[in-house]
Amino acid sequence: MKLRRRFRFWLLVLLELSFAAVALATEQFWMLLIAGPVAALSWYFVEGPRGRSLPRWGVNIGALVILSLVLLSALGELDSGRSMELLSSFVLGIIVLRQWQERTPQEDAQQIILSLVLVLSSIMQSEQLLFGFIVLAWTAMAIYVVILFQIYSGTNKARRLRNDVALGSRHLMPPLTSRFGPMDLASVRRTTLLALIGVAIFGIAIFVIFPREILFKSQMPGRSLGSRTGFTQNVDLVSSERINESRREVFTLQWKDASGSAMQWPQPILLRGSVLDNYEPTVRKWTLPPTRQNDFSRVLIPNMSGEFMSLGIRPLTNSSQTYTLDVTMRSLSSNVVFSPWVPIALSATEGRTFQFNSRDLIIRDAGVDVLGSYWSYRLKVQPFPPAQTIMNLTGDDVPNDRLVSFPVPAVRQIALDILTELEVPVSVLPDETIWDRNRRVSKALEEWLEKNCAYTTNLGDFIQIASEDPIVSFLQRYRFGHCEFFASAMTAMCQSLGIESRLITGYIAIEYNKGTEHYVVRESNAHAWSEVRVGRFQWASMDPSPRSELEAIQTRNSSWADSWRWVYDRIDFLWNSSVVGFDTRTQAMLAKRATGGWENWFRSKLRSVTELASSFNRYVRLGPAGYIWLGGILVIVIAFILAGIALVRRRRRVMDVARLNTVDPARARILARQLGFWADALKIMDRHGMGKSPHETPLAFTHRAAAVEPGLAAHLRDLVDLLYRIRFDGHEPDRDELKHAEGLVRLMRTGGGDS
Amino acid sequence: MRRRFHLHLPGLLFVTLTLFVGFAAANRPNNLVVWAFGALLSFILVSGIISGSMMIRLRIKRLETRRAVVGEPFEIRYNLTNTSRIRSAFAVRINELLTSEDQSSSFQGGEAAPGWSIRIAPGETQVCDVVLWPTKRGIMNLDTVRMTSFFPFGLVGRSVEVSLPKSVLVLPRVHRVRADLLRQAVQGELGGIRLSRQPGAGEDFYSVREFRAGDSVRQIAWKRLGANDELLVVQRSSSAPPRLHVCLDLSTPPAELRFNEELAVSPGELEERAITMAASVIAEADQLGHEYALSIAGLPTRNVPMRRGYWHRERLMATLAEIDLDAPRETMPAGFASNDERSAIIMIHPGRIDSRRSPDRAWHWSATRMTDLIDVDETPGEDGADQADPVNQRVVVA
Repeated sequence: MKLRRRFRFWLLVLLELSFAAVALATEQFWMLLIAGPVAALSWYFVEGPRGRSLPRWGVNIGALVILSLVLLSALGELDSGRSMELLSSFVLGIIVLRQWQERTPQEDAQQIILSLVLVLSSIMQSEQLLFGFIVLAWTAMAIYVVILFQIYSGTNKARRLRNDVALGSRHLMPPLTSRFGPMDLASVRRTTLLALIGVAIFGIAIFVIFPREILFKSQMPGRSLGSRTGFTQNVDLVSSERINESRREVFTLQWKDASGSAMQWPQPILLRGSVLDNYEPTVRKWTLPPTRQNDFSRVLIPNMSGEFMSLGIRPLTNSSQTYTLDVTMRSLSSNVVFSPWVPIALSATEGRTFQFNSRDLIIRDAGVDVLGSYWSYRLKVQPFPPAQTIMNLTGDDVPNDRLVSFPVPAVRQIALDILTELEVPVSVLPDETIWDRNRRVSKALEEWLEKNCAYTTNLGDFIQIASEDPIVSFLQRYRFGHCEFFASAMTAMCQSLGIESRLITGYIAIEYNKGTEHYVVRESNAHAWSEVRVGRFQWASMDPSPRSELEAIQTRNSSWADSWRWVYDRIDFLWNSSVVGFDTRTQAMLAKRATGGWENWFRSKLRSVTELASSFNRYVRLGPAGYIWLGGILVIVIAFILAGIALVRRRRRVMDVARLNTVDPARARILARQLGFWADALKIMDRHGMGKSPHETPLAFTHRAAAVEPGLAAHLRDLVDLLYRIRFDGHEPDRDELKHAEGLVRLMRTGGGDS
Repeated sequence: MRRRFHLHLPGLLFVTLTLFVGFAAANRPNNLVVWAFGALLSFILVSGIISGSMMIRLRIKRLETRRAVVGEPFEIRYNLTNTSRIRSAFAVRINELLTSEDQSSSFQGGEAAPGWSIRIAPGETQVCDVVLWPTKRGIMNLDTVRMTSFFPFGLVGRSVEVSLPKSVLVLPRVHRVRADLLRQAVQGELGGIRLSRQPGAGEDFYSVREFRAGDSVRQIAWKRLGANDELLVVQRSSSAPPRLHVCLDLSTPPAELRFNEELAVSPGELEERAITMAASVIAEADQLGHEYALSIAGLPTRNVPMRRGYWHRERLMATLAEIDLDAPRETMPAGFASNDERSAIIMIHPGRIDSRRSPDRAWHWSATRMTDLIDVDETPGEDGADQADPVNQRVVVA
């Protein structure tokens, strides 16, 4: 392909990328569907064999028509927020139109600039990952296209100037002899890569140090990210938009016993994120009272060395009932530390500050020293904690009992009817405590809900009635809904009966990967359940949602893509947390790290590597010997890589010295294997100060060498003879010939002697 | 050696656009705009770094120049070497810097027809050429060569200026002399009077040589065959060509030149025209196979004897090119061109014809009627058609 044609082709690709970017940014895909094919068709008509193009006046009229349409659109809906969208539409129209005209290099440059304007206007409108990918691809393509343009337009200009000077003269001008061949193209591609790396390095550096006033609140960088995790800190029974069955991985967790071995817990693990015990019937929401929203009494700054820090007042005491939980975020950006009941210690290696709510036993990331939002943490938990542990965490000021009620009176009657139907007395029986009564009654209500209500995420038929509370509608009218309705009904009925109860939101870990010994928590695992107080320090988790339905949803939506989906999710998360969500706080933290703390960073990374090796060792189940194997494998891999690099370099050298670049690739591969002796011989001669000039033939070089180094030249002559026979005579050397050649090279290396 | 960075119009526009985006990034809480700003700024930086590092490894050497003639393209060749072992150099433009007034008035197109190299591979040496268009005869001094590259993005350019002093002798411009004029001038002269040094189709004996297949039987030297039993043939000499003596009369100081003032030319220009006419006559005579000589009256130059051939012509052209019109004039010596000379004589005068000190049979041509005598090339030059007098139509023959 000629230089001009090649440039024009990649320019078209560049323009198509900018169309895709603007279509994605404005979410008007008709732009891509119309402009893309129309621009692509211009390749056939304008650049094709017939070379038909629009006349210049036609293009001007077309531009006026596009301008009029854009102005009409702007006047039809006056909105300053649409300025970028209108600009994009206008520029896109102009680009497409100009593709259909015969263009000079100057007009080609204008097309590149218009494409840049299109992408810049799109950047103002979107922050999606896919858009980011397209912009990155556009940048790489733009570098290549601009480089091609520099060469194309420069050559064109030089040729034109030369012709212009000789115009009207009877004298012939010397022609411009520069040509653009395959080797030049390869070199241009290498330079493009180099420029791309340079742009990436400088671009990232400028991006990081650029003074900005951006500060994302609520630790949710990326406007769309918070609503996509499924988790919510308030339960709104009116809106169910956040309920989805997305397979997006949120985080993974590993459950380890006291000895440090990973295991699967017999029950699904309920991971608490938020505790809600206040229902507002007017807005039909479960919320945390404003007085308790900032009730985080304790500040924790775990040691970055990875040691566990006790959440309680006193130091941590281990017991056989203590389990360790390793949580690694995959795509969630949240300040909530999800934990099962009941966390006793926390470890984080990223130098974070946490706040602990000793009343609800909820941990949050204070977010004052966060570098990015992707992170991992470890927890020690006791599923069945003794009272001493709870006292250690909450302190001694836990109220003995609390009078509770529910603001919707109808719920109490429904609860009483259900209990009457189940023949479960509400009052405290003579042989039981109030805590036993709480457990008994709540258990009965949980079972009733599980048996009598259907679980579904499709609330199309759940029509909210203005005069009726949705919890009442759920219990009396519909008896179907999702986990929030189940948990709300359970909590509401308990509270209406005077049983202390609260609604918990978080995640349920069901999916266990036996290969990696990890639980995988997805967006569809966002869950709500109830906790009922069954002791002064004890709360029991009650999950009225039918477990079989939850598991069915998990298996129903699983697919082969789940194994790899996390890759995209992770990139999406990194994009949102590291690029879109890069704010002043992260910048300050980065500066802090840049000025110090490298030692800790290095240690933490070393620990990560050690843990990775340890998990791999556990996975392959080789015991302590596994580390030796791992080391051995690592050494072998490194040796293979080094050997590979050496082979590639040697092959390139042989290709170069034997001029094999012009030979058929298959034949060149064979020759590169056979002619290694020639490269070695030249290297030896070079060491003796006898470098071969590129223009010199091997025989001429031998003659020249004979005058200076007759001893070496004698061997060299034999090698040249073999070289000529193999390279130009089609001779296939046998093993003995090649060994003989290698022997000659060895002799040359040792300084002479007869072969 | 002088190295400089350049920012031309596209670069300035790009910088302006970058500043706009930077302004938007500072005022808009959107990290992608910051990213775009970083990318745009890094484009400028990378452009400067790549072109800078590329140019620092380039070496240039001017090769020996070919003949330069006024009004003809003058090609200057360079050896351009990339000393880098890793990286190629791309899109390198080469210019001769014609900074001094003398240089810029001597050449047209120093910037207009630059040299260009698409790529110079690592360690490669390429030959590039710049084409200049000389407009003035004489010794011209070239000094600085500039290599420029705006690669890779065309935003920031890097130039390296290397001092490579070189003197070039620009030969006078040559026009085609009207064929009938020169034929008239040499008509009747004693062509063939001498023995030629070359074999040909003449009548005089030249030599004998061995018989070759295809030789005519009539050419066989029968006597030699009979005497020595050798088969030889007789070669005849070619006729001696007509001889032409070109005399350039520059003995009249420019201030004393007499010519029609309606021509609106300066005396200096007329003298240059006279030199051009002499060069044109010599070139035409050479093309017709004549022998020719050149004498210049009024200046201390050596008269060149009668010869013919390429090198003789070049010697005469160089003599004409080296004429210094600012030198003091001498009077025309007696016997400058005598009647005894067996050749046609053409005397070229810058102004009005003064035939008093010249042979009677000499032809006198005046530079004021140049367009009547020769077909002037339209290519721009010091004495091009734009300066010619379209009024004079009569051939001036003394």
